[in-house]
Amino acid sequence: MTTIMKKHTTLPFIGIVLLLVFSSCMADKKPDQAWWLNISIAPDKTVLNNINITTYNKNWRSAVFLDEKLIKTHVTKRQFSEFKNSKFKLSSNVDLNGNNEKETIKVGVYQNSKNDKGIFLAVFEKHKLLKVFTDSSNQGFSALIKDNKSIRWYKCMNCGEYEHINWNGKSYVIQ
Amino acid sequence: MTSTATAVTTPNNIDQLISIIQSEFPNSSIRITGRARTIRRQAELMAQRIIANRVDFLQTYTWRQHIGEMNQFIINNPRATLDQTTVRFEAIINTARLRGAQVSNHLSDTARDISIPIGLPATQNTIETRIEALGATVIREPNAAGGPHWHVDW
Repeated sequence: MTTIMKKHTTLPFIGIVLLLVFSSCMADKKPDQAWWLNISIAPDKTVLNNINITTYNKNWRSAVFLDEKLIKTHVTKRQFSEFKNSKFKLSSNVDLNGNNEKETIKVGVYQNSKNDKGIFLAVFEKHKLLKVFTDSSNQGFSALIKDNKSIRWYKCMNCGEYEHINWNGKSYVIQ
Repeated sequence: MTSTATAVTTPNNIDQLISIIQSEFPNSSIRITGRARTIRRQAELMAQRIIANRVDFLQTYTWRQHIGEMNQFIINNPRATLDQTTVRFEAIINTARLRGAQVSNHLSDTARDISIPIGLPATQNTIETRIEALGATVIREPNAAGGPHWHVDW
């Protein structure tokens, strides 16, 4: 009788333990993420567009612009096709300030003197650096989509995480 | 396409919720494609703005207690660096949110964008229902400017 009772309580108990372990494993498992959320870019330049990176930001140690060649070396063929077939660009020409001259906007990754990495967006006009925006909460991918007279700075693809860059009459601002 | 596990699990956060959905619908190729604006990023944006021009900053944001605190910090610490200001603003924002203040309607530590699940509409409906059963809301964004996705907020 005792043996039968032991069997009838032991098996369900094992079942509950296994279920809890399974649930716990699911709880601890990190969810799958798209490649652009995990891509790691190592900034390695001290001059960008013939301009010393300390002009971009006095605390930068190194930086690099994102371009297709760089992205290609970090992702698979299929992943690169995903980017190529999208609306996203790593560089864009648009007249934000309405002076009939198109600014060139580029995105990249920087590393500062504390070894912290972040992403940046730089605005040029006729090769002159006009403005730099930084985002220390992201460390790799970002890209651009034109939006009328502004630029959307996306931190991902197939997502809604972006900021608007436009001209407010006096300066470039981020929304 | 069917669910392979119906164990009742309660997620502790949005990432766990997504993990559960991925494990229950492995053939739908669901992956996280984006996150919402973090508090850190919001703090940094506001820090950049106030350092660039304090008057402009005060004209940009509706006056609230946390705006006043940020303004006072800069007045009291005119030489504060961007990093120092960001750290302080992050704390101010967290405190403000605990008070119930809405600092920005873009902020969320509990939202994720995910890829649109692969499968027939019936499968997608099942997945949406399951996400809602786990405690999140789903906004389908098939025509988003940044690419098609589902926005999941827990």
